[in-house]
Amino acid sequence: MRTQDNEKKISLIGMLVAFSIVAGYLENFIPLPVPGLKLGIANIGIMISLYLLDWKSTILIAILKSLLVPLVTGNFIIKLTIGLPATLAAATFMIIYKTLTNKFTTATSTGALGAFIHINCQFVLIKFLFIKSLTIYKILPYFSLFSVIAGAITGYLTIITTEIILKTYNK
Amino acid sequence: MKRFRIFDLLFIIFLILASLSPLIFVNIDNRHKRLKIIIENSDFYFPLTETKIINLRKYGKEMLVQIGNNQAHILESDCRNKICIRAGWIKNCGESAVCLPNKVAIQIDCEKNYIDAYSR
Repeated sequence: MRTQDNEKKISLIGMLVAFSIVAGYLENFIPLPVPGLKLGIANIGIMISLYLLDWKSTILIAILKSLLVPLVTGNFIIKLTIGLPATLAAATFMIIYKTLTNKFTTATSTGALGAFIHINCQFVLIKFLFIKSLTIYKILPYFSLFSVIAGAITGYLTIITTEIILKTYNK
Repeated sequence: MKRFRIFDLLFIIFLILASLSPLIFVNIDNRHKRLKIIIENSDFYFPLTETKIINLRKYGKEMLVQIGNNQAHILESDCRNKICIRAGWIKNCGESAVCLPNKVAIQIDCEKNYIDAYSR
């Protein structure tokens, strides 16, 4: 029984990482009004693992996703230096938030929090590594607002996907 | 699994307010300001306190920059789209008006004060 559970877990991790890579590639083709913005559909993989698996697998999927998605989409070094710490910070905050308030919240607000931490972390990293001017903080409020909304959508999609997975998983 | 709870809504509203809060605080800024005019590759600095019109003809550009009341704008330009003129008055740190055809930009430059005062 124990090994069977382990196998199920490993296969689910694999599927979630594969889903994240495909989603991270495909969301480049969704047009948005501002260049550089992404919906963050690839993070559904991380959030599903947060709600179905434990925190260790969540961190693992976050690292694998931010290592592998830039390999597919290009611009590897910049995306890695900005994306990996931001994704890890967002995942950590989401884990803490989910453990603390799981009784009275759903994935919607967890996703919104994750997206908020992610975009702010990215801006701080860009400030320290690439663009030294303070001017880039002018656009932060709008980016932040957009990312909160996008994160809430991501969280809602996570709930729907989790329900489907649980239905097929427990057959 | 329940799909949505009231606490989610409250938390999302809190995050939206948190993301919009820099818009309120960004205008409170009393650092020393001056006007930086970038012409091709060189920078020229002007104090923002006086009221005057700077003619850029001596730098080879048919443009007029007006300064007054701690703010500045591009008054006249011979470029095609007049985007620099439509940018209007600039007054906050880091705001700018750019004229790409002439390769001219004006920007409010703020110095960082590392030391408030010193005595010996």
